Amino acid sequence: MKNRRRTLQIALLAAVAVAAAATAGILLAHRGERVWTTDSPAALAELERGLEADQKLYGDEATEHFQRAVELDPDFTIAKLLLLSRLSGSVAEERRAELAGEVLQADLGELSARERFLIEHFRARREEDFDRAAKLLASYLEAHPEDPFALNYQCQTAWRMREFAAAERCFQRLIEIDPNWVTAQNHLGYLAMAQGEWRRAEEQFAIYRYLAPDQANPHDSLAELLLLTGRWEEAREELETALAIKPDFCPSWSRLITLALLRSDRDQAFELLERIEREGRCHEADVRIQRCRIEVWSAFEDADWQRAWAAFSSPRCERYFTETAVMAYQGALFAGLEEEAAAVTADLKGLVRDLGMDQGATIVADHLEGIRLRHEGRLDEAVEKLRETDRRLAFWSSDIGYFKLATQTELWRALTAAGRHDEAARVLEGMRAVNPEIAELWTAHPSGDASAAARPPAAARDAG
Amino acid sequence: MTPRATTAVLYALGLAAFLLAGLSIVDMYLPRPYDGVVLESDALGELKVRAVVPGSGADRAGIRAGDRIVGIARTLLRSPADAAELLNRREIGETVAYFVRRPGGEWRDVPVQLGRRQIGDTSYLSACLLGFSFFFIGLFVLRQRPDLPASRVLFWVCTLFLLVLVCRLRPASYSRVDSLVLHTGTGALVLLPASFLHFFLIFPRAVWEGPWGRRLGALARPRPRGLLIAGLYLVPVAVLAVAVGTKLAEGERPALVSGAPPANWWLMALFTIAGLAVLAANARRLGSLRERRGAMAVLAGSTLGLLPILTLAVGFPELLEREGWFLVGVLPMALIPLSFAWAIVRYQLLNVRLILRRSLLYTVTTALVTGLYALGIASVNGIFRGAGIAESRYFPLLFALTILLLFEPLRRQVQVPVDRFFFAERLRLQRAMVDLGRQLSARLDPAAVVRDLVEELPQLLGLRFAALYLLRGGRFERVAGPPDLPEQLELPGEVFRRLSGRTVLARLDELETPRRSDAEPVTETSGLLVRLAASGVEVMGALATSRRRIGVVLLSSRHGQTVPLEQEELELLQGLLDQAAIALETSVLLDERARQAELERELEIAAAIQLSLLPDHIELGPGWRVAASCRPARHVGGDFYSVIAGPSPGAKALVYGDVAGKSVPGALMMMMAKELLHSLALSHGDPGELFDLANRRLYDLHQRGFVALGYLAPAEGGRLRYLIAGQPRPLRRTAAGGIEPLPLSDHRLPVGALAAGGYRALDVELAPGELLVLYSDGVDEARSPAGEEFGEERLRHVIAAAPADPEAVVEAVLAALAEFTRGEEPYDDLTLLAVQRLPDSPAGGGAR
Repeated sequence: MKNRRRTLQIALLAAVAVAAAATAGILLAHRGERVWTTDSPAALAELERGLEADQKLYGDEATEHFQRAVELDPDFTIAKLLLLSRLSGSVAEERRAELAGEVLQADLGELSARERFLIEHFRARREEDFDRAAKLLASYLEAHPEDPFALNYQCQTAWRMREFAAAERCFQRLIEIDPNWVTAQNHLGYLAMAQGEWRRAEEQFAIYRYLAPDQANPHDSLAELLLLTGRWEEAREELETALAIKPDFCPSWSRLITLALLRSDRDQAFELLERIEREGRCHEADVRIQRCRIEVWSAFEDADWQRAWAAFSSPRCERYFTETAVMAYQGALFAGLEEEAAAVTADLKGLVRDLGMDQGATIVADHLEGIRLRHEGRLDEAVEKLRETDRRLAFWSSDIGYFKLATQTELWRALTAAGRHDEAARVLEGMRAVNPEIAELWTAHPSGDASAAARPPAAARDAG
Repeated sequence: MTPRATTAVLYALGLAAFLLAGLSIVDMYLPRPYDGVVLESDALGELKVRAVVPGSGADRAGIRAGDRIVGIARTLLRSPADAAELLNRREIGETVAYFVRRPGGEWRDVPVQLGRRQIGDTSYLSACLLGFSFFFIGLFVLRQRPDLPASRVLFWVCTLFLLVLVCRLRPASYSRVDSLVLHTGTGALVLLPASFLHFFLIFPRAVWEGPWGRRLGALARPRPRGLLIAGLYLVPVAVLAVAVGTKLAEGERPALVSGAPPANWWLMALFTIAGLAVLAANARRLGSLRERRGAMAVLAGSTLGLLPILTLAVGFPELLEREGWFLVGVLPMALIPLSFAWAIVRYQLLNVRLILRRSLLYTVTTALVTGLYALGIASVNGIFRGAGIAESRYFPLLFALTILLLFEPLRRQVQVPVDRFFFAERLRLQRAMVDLGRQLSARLDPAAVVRDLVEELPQLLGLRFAALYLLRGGRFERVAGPPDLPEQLELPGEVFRRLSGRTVLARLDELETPRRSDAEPVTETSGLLVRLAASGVEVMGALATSRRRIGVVLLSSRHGQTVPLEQEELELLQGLLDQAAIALETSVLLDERARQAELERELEIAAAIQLSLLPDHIELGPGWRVAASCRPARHVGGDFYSVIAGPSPGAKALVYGDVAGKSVPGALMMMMAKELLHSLALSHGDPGELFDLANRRLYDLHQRGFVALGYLAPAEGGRLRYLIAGQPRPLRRTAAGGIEPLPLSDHRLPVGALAAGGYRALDVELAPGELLVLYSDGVDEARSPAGEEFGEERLRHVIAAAPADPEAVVEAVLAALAEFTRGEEPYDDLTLLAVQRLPDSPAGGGAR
């Protein structure tokens, strides 16, 4: 009996030890979870709701939560900082200055490491001491490599610096730590799209859309991919959804018009223009640009170079240079208006000079140069120029993606004209992999007399 | 670690495993919002759908097996715990957006209406029942034989089986408990084959005790053996770590089958085959055919039980995901505990009938409780439809707890009918044993008790024989039983104490004192137990009461050695032996009582004879009057008085004595002393000489017996010659009524106490009317009930107050003593004499 009691005692002690170890493990696993410093649980809850809303791009909702958090705890410094970041220019400058002043003067002593970092980083940026901001970020990330806030700063910096490989790694890391960081999903979608990884891009955009379905941007982002890859009906639905959510989301209107133009449905394009005017609440300049696009694109499609140039020359197309300028340039060139064509190039250079636009504008300029060389029969030079232009382009968006396809179309024409059919076929194959319908449509277009004369029959194109 | 500490740790682990398994099941039925998705537990970190509960929200939303749940409520999930947290924030009935990826890559954003949690299917229920069966069998064996290493390892194996079957096979959902439960189950799965092999290395005989172990040499020592066992458990853990770690390092998800990578399954198969091979080899070298058959039963059960699951896991893992095939893999595992139980019964470790009985009992009770639960829930839902109580998520839990409280009272109620229905034969045997116990209790004849024990009992239990040894003269002598058993049982006292301290009969091996090392010599007890076992003795029980040791009963195995005596039978038998011991003790006491009565009758006769030897009337001579009384403390005493020849021819002397010792020895000594004095007084008139001679004679007897003597003889002129040897001082009552003690001579030791003599008589002259009172120490040392002595002072008062007459003085003293002792039996023999010089007498000496 005594032995049994002793055995029972040992067993109970062992069980208590196991339970204590488990409890200690759980406590250790949950230690240090508190990262926001406030004595008010209600304020903390509001801040967390605000962050969640902010993550999902519900900006107004986030602003309200941050505002309530500040009201509940007037000493809640980080809530003030986040509120400050949400307040737009429409809010009284006085209030923003007041908040900024409070954040700048806040005592960092009792704050968490993350809060100290965010505030010090804000101070450095406020003082335009970007080196210090970068150092702060680096040292904080070294100590807290998994802090999503700091990682987001790092990723955005890499993105802005056009260090796309680093940005992609950074965003991937960020969503591993916090998959609900929606802007990271959006960036990763575009990064995948740029590399032609349509499936991955679609996955990212689909996730993005799932996380923030009542925001216009996720639908618009996905629509860009669908538009580029020829899934036009799906793209239209997404764009319509985006516009249903946010009728003044003008990029979606623009893409709907692009879609109508790609389908050669001018009536639809003009109807859309009316809809923009009626319900779009876009800026007048935006509406004018869209009208310009429709007119230039229609003329170009009809191979009516004079009309294309005329449309582009009208006041409503002033200083608008993307695909409209390219079409207008070709129109001028093919119509024999060489001076006008040169003017487009000069205008482009002026834009580069005036607006500080560098890489994008020079790529467009190189594209135009390639067309000119082809038109002048300097085919090898044209191929080199266009190939280089194509190399420098990626499918970053539907617009840039289509511009890259246009460059590839010109390259195909130059190669075909030069009798380099194998290379031309490879280029065409690449285009078909992106958007087969566009590949067929654009290579069949009589783009200039030289190319029209040199255009091989469809069977020969395919065989090459 | 000592066996006791190991057992304690095992109990603790078992308790933890049991609680975890219970937690797993309770968690599955806690009311909480649930979508109806059962997750694939082998997809680490993913929420891959294994099945969808028909009719659930997920089912209606079109979620199917193979889909991956990527997000819930517009939030991406990193783990099932995220899903649990999100779902716990929702209400039952709420619709939540799910983000699902189809196996072909299609993404679906679907609304799922959350319902009440309800998971678990037939196969899991089977697995749970099987798991708990394993556990309770292991627990029962450990409780019965915690001293056996095989029992401990079996319990460990059964605990791991419990964890595998209940935790590892749990239909995973999003609960936080899932991860803990599933990972623990995986750990158990990985360790299980090692424990399986471990068990077969020591069951039914330790491999290292066989020819292989001796040949390997190193295994004979505990340390390398311990390392070998530790290695067995470390290898699968290492394989798991390498298999999973390598894949994770390569950035890939490890492929798992029921939580373990294929490499571990191969290892499990290898360990299992090794374990079965060891068992097969072990079985071949077992001594008896019965043992070999038992081992082969385990071999067959384990092989048939494990073959399907291992074949499926290693060869066709995808089939395990299908309900039907899963059952094909799991259900045969029931053969393992059954074959173990069967085999262990063969080795007398387990009472399978008891297990069966309890299993049936608990099954019936559980069915009743479940029925009650279902009825209660249905009633409440019906009666309180629409009210808060029926909708509350806590109601089913509270109701379940209430029902659980009813479990034990219900079980008690169910016990009798279940026993009556399933165990009629067993109950008949129990009743017969109870009747035999009653019969034994009523026995007064020891021969009848012996007959009951060695003839009826074996017949009742189907034993080959029973033997009875009774304790006689410090030895256990065989009084009944087969002649090939020893006549006398040299059973050490310590073994008998252990035997009589048990509440159940002991199997012979339980009485073995474990040796600390192989080098320690075999004890005599071990030798005796081996001889008894060779004679067919199976169990031994003590016959003893709280007052005395009576004997030992030996019982053989049953006829044909089919089924050993079960634990319950052994407990009943111990009760029976206790009743037999009381019956035997009663008969012994009755016998002793009869002898005592006879002795008492003889003593009464002796007392009468002794009294008759005392003189009725004492005559010392003219002028002297004597009164006397002698009362023995028991029937016969050691006090006496007598009249012997005096110092001069024709004179008389009075002697009184008190012999050391009472009862019969005292009486005999008294007779001898009295006769000695009589004979010596005839030739030796001087009292000193008389006492010296008597002293020499008594001392020479070397009996260490001595006699306190007093001597008194009349002399010339009213004087008295007296000699006191060991008796109290005589008291003189003067004419004026004063009390004076007489002086004593220097040498006054009792006669026969020392070799040296030197007794000398003194004279005292009494005036007419004066009295002399002589007495033995039984007078002044008489005790009251409170323990107080009567004392000389009290005696003086009584004598002084009494009339001046010898008879009156004696009567007064006796009355005072009776009052003082309140009629209690005298502490010592009592002799009282009073001698008076008559007032009108010249008191001359010599005889008349």
